[in-house]
Amino acid sequence: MSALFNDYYLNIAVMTCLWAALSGAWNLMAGYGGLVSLGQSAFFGIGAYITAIVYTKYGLSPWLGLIAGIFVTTGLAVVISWPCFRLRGAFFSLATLVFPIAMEIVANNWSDFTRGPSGIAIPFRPGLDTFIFSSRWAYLIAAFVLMMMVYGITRWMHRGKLGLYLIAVRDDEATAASAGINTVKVKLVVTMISAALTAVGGFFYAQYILFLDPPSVFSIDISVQIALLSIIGGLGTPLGPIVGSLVMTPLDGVLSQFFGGGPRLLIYGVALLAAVLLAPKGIVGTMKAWRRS
Amino acid sequence: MLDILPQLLVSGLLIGGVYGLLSIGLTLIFGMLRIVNFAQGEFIMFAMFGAFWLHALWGIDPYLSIFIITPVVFGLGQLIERVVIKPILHAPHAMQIFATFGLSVVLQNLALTFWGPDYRSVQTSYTSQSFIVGNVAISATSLYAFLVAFLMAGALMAFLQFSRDGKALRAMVQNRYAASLMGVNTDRLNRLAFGAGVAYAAVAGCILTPIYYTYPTAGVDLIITAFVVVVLGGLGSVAGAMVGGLIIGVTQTLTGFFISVELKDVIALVLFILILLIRPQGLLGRAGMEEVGTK
Repeated sequence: MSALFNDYYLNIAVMTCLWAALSGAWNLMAGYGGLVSLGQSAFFGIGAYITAIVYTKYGLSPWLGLIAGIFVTTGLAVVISWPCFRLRGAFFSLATLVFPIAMEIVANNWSDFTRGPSGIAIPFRPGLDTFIFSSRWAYLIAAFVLMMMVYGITRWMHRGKLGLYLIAVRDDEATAASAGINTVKVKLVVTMISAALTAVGGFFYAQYILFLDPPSVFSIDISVQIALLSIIGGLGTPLGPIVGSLVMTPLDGVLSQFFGGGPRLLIYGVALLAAVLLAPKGIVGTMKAWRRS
Repeated sequence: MLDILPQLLVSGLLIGGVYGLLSIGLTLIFGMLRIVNFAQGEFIMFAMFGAFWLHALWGIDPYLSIFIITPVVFGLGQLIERVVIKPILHAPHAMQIFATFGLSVVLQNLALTFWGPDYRSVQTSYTSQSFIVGNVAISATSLYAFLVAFLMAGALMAFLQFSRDGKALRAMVQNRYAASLMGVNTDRLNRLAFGAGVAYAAVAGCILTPIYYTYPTAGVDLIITAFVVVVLGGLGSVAGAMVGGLIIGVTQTLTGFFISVELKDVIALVLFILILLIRPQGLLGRAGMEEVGTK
């Protein structure tokens, strides 16, 4: 009983770190570059699917799948960016919305590789080479490392030139360009970093949950969830996604224990609306403003 | 093979008219408020549930319920504009997007909580009725939807062109500040535009009830098509929404028949990306519109 109890809380802790990492990767694009993507689940799902396919279909190490996933998603980031960077604001978001939808259709129909709608079950063979562990503590350590990695990259960007360039592009692209910033290159670099980190999250998800089907990784809900945590925590701050996930992921765990899908997501939607309307700077931003005043 | 072409074209045009009707409200709200309303599909879905319940409880015909549901949704839209839209009119994009996205999540799950996930449908005497012209069968419900779509689009264009409020709205789009100096009450017009935009969604919902299933995520499935239609036609252009709807409807029907049904959904997405690449302002949109959306 107590082991079960323990597992329940450990799972919430693992998911908190994973969501913080995914949201942090989105925050790089959206918070710093103003690239409000609604297509992150395309990167997430591709990372997860490639890992699972390399492991289950070809019997190779999922680590190879991770590397392949990073290559494919960063490549896809370049392809996606080409049409989307010409668009601004809501138009950019609308365009990015299309990619996970297209990926879900592909995953549903390309059954030779993805096994279509029935999904892929990943056999449980614990070991470091398979990145499958019998203890959730191991997953928690890995998820924590991933989260801190994203945090570290964000801090590095926040202080460095890339971050400043991005903020300049976000606030006024024309002025940034006239000041000599290669705006397309800056946006492309951050999109590729974000895609690669999101693919790592997908790899982790595949080897942790051990089951994938098209809606569970490509759904728009995942892209929204990723964005929601940063918005609640504080968009464009390194700590924002972590704070957002610390608040929302355990809350989500509790809510899903007591309510079914409808009321749980209803509370979620209300939280999102309240965050946007009442505290648009998020928890971190609002606290900072308090401390200053 | 080719003798079925007239039938396919007619079916495609009819469904395209419905797509146009779904998209008018979206394009109106964007054109006037510069906000992409991600919750538009949920207003359609609520109207569908409204029409479903009016029919199930009191036997009111879905077409008749247009006159009950549309004013209610119009009022609701004005209220929502005041609470959700007005505070974010000048906020960063991320906030604008997620305010309407949050609204969509709330409305969708209200429906799920109250009415459950079941697919419902309304059976009327004319549900499976169709007219035969030559060797082309025209479904009655699709034909009515098509006619209403063009009627509603025409009415809106006439309103924007000739009425006092319509002229004020167009002035507001050109220059919000100057319009308010000329005595245009921009707060009232924003409410009017958003209310009208979601009222169009309500009409679309009622018209769809006899054709389509009613379920809580119906709006999500419909709105993706509406986004494609609106971007194709030009965000902000009412005529563009109708033209875009017809093009998507015919393309989907032809692809579904001649190539494959799976490709039917992909073709719209491919068109969407192509149009963004080649002509981002859409077929009938003004150049630079996709950039104006940013400021």
